[in-house]
Amino acid sequence: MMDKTPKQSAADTDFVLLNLEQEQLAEVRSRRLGRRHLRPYELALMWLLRVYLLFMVGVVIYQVYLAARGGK
Amino acid sequence: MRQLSISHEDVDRAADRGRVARARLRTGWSSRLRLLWLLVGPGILVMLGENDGPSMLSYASTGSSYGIGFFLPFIVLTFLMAVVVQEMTVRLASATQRGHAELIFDRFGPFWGWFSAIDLAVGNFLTLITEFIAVRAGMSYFGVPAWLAICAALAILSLALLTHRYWTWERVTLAGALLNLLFVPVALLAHPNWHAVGHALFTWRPLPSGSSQQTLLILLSDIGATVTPWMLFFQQSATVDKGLTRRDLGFGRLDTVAGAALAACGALAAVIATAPLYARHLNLASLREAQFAQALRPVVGSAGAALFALGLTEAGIVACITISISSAYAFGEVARRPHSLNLPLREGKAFYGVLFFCALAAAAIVLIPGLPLVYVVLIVNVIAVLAMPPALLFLYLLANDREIMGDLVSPPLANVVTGLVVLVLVAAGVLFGLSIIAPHFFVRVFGHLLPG
Repeated sequence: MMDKTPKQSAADTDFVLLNLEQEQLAEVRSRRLGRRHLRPYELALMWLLRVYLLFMVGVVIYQVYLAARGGK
Repeated sequence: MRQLSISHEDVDRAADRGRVARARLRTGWSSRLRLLWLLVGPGILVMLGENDGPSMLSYASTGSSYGIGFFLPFIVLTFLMAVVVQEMTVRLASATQRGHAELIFDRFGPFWGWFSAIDLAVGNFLTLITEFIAVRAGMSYFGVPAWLAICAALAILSLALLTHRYWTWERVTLAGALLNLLFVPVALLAHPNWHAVGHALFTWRPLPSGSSQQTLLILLSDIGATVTPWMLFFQQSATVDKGLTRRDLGFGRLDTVAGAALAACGALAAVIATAPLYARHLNLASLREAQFAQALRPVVGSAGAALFALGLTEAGIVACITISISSAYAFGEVARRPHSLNLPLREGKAFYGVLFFCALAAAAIVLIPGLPLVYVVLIVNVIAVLAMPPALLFLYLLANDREIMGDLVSPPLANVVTGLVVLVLVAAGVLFGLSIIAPHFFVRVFGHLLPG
């Protein structure tokens, strides 16, 4: 990704390193952070809320259908 | 160590941070104010951005349906909820220098990352449609044809991005967002009963009357008008793009609180301005396009109605800008493409491409004639509320992830409040679902508990 970026001058580099923390640099930010281990209850909560969302989207679609049928 | 490569984006951000560093060197009130001026932005933008077309229409619908009462303090409460939630994104951004979408991808893996990205993309697209509806509705009051209003909104969106500089974009959009306060003079022109306003704010009364199902729809819509998933993604990414660090956290928090206070003023003003329509038994939910402002004309006069229409247009345009940018940030973070408003066009083709594609597609849909304006808006707000609990769970887990947050992990009080917000949102969603699937059961069991 960063290889496509035009290179900046040495003066630019000095200016950037003076004013930005290293972790703010685009190249550093583009590096992936490691995965974290999800505990079973966290995973269960994620799935529960995912099912809740899918179910509720179905309810909203049904509500829109009812409203359309009722000529709202 | 290998030498780091420096990008154009870094140079622009370093210039912004250089100004902050110089302001920090000085002492006295003026330099503190200068520092505040340099560091505020994402919080005010996200809060005023969320006072968008659908939100203002939702507040207007609330005022015309229920007058001054329960909903005034309820709206204040929703903004307090928004402050708690959005403060976490400032902390996450300062601690990790990563956007929300990339943190979810990195920490929870692509499976959950894609779920959250799809939620955001769908929600943002639906919301963008309603923003253009608001622009169309506002401009139709002035006799501007729909196609011209939409083209003008797209032109303003393009102009705001022309500089390819985060700082300039932020200041231009902030100036536009402050026009949200146009609703305040409209409220004043409605000559509200301030005693009733004060009484409502402190007693939550009178409670709304009418059908429980309609009340629940408005309740959910007003929550969705204040806390939505795109806000999490936008504020975190914008805070990173602006370059705020751990040292700036206090200003980031102040920025968020100031934004919430300004946005609450706009929201309450919209309710108060439209409340006289309640006494006249005129519900905005039954109206279309220019009729919104026209209905207000007998109450607030021609100038007030014109301000209302302008405010609606502004709300739609500013949100078009912020929401399409939140989609572009998330796309860049997920696809690992450069994503910054400091990118020149040649380096950020994908970023700007997604931004414009989302806006263009939503704009095209709005040109379809005969869309049921207010109903679409209320439903989109409800969808935003329903999508919030899974988004908040990701936020909660990330903000408590000591490995990335260090000493900035959420304090216990913030966790309790977040848990309560999730519970309230899920409970409201379940009640809404019950009121649709089993309306008789809902009325029998919960009808007496709910206002209305």
